Amino acid sequence: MKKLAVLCLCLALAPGCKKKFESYGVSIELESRSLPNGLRVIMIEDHTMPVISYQTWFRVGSVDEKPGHTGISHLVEHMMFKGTPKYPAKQLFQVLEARGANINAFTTRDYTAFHEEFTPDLLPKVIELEADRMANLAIEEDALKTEQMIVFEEHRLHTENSPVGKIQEALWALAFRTHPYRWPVIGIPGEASRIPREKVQEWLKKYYIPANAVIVACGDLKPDKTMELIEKYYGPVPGGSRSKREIAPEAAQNEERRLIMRAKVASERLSEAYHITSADNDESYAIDVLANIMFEGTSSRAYRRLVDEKNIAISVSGSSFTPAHPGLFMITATMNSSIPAAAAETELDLIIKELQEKPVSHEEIAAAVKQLTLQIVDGIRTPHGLAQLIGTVTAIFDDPERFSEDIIKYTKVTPGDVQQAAQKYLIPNNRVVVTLVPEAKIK
Amino acid sequence: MKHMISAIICCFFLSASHAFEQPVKLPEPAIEKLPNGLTIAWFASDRLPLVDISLLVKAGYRQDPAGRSGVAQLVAESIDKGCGGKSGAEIARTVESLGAERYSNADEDSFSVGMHGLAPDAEKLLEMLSLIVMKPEFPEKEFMHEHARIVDKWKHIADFNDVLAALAYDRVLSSGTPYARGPMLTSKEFAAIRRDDAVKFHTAWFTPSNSILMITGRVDRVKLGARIVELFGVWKNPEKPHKHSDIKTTHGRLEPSRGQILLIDHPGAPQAQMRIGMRAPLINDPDHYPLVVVNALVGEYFGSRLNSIARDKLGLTYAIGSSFSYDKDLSKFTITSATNSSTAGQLVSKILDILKDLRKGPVFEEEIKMSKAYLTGRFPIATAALESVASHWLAGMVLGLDPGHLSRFVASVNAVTAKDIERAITRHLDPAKAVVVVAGDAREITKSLHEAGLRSIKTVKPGELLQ
Repeated sequence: MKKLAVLCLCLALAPGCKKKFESYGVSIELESRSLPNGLRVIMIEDHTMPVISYQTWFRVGSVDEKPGHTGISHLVEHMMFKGTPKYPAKQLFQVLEARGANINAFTTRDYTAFHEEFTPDLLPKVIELEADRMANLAIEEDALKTEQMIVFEEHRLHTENSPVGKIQEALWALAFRTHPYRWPVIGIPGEASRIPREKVQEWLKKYYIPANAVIVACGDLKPDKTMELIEKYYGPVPGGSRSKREIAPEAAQNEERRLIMRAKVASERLSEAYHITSADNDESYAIDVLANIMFEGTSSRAYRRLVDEKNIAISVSGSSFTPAHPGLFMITATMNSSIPAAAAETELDLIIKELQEKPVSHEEIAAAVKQLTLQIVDGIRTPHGLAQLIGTVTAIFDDPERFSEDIIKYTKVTPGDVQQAAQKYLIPNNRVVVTLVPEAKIK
Repeated sequence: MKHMISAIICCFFLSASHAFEQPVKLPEPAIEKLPNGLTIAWFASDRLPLVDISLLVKAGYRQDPAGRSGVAQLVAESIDKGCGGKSGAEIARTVESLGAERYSNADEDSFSVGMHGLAPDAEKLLEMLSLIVMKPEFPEKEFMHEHARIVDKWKHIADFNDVLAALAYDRVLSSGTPYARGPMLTSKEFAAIRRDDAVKFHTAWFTPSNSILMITGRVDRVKLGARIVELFGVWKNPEKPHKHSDIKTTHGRLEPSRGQILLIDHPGAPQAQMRIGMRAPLINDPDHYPLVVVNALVGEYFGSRLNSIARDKLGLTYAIGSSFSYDKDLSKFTITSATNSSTAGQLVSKILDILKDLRKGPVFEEEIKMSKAYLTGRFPIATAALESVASHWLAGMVLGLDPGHLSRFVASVNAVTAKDIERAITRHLDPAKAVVVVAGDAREITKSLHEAGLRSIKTVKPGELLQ
């Protein structure tokens, strides 16, 4: 609350709010501004490379969907490249790719982002094109049908054709019974193909509007000049009103859920997920540390036990995923030859028991915190990475500065916090277990 | 630097591009050489508190001894499992307690071992790296554990169609070259590898005069430089340099005849993964830059021919693209895609048509202009990060390119003419020589190929790729 108050004050007093953050030898200065139509703009001026990353974040994802039209946010992401009356299909690409820009987009459960990476001379054109498609995207029937076919193939590629994708999709569906996190971002298979053009247009008008968007521009730019261009092109776009997310929380899980799947794989694969908290809960820092102690590197507890000492798995990994709503602590192991997944489950249960009964050492926490610090710093090596960090925290917390205290909060995690997190969340009644079993031996 | 050199080579040489007419001035490394021949390349930058220290050794799968293919892969997996009196677990604990990552990868022509971590830990990471590269012990128990783990990993290749397609494609295209054995030729050869083979490989190739130590990031060059001299100055070259004779294996059993499609049967797979392409000229060939321009307009960007037709117009696939990949003595031009089994024939046929059209011409002036602008425009982006320039520089060293090649990229692309392109296509991109590999459900895919008029098919089981 304190931080939000500071930000509001800055916006009230000046056309923009500049704030510098220095931590662990990294210096970042954010400049926040907004337009009367509600469009929020965050800029980071950094002239070390002749590159700009321009990202448009919309607070819409599969969490906003309802059964019957799941996958619509991801489908709209595809349609955003299909052109406007001024810049018809493919022109967006032609205009920008002809100058070497990287263009792409992604959709998650909580948000959707469109991003370009380019040399500074292209900035006016990028802003013009992005504002144009925000205001004037055309949804043509034929183009929609083609994209629906492509999305179908995308699902096959990433899920049906991949044991990893298959097991992940099943895990989320098993973990959530009422919450919209239960369906994949790409949608329940087949649904996205049946969404009519009218529904896509309705979705577009509701969510892809200035009031529901944040622009993050990072790199070799001048904030005043950039803002002039943003005002010129986005100023006339009607702001709309931001829809309130009213999503009922998932009821607490009180029983273990299990699923056995069969596929043509060489050995069994185990996947477990424990319900945990959301990103806005500071317990998430202790959970991240716990995940690193268990899974990061070959000296982690799980790798040592399952791969090195017991030799029952060829790989084991795990991580905590804390999005806008309560997420999952996920574990995956690929078994060695004909060893059953149950063997990995037993060992993982023992590791968890040890973590619940005896506090981890300060050394283990220190190593995990350094690992997490390295991950954060690695993530901001390029303007694209830094813009993505700012975009993510703004989309989730509505606060672009939220990243600034991450390292400090990790350093404050105690052995007791980690033990409590293990005791509170890593319990059988709070988990789902999916096992993928070989259908037949592949010769 | 955390990734394999081959990957670096791909994304660098394939994707590099730019918008400037002026020569691009890129950061250059400060180079030093120790008396024992070890080259040290410094790419220093204070921007972020990160450091990457890696040793590149100019030897890879190609140098696997006769009857022992897979040694390089095994050395990569086991080199840090006991070094200089420290156990593998101790090494892992020491590095990971610093929050750092260590990596060790082999590819066709090179080997890289390195540390990536926070800048204040540079000296400690350097010490650990020196133990790993100079004093590996390959303890028997750990070595055989890694041996068994690799065998088990290879058993999983059939879990992934794209891996099957890529392996079969590489086998066919590299047949008869020093690269034909890949990371592992057969399970039988791999089973024969013993600890002694790893020791011999290390002794032969991990020498100061055959290596480059590269440091990237925020470092105190004077202080770290002194430690390098202390730690690596004592590293000795063998009295007699190792002599290597290339082994040129063929894959007769897999190789399809001209016009025949190689189909890897993976029953029940819902999608067909495909690789279509041919051998290409080496990276230092005079036709290299014309081909870079051709590749971009064929399949590198969203507006390319492959993407426009197969994805946007026909909706046959989610992803399609083309690329060149380069080893020191072998290059490949590859089109990669995946589609529903029932449309595999249609997609293969369409890709071959696109290649035929390219050969028939014309390649329009507008396309060439677009491709060149795309490539030259992307160059500053591809080389913006220091780590990226460092990776490109190192990849160039493996391929034997002169250090200035990167700075000439823009001018070289801009100099390409329509005539150069026509000549390069005529010489090197003959669709009649295209190798087509598809992996997926053979029954469904065969039906689809037949429907598309593609009747010459050679079907093999995944297990045959390693026999």
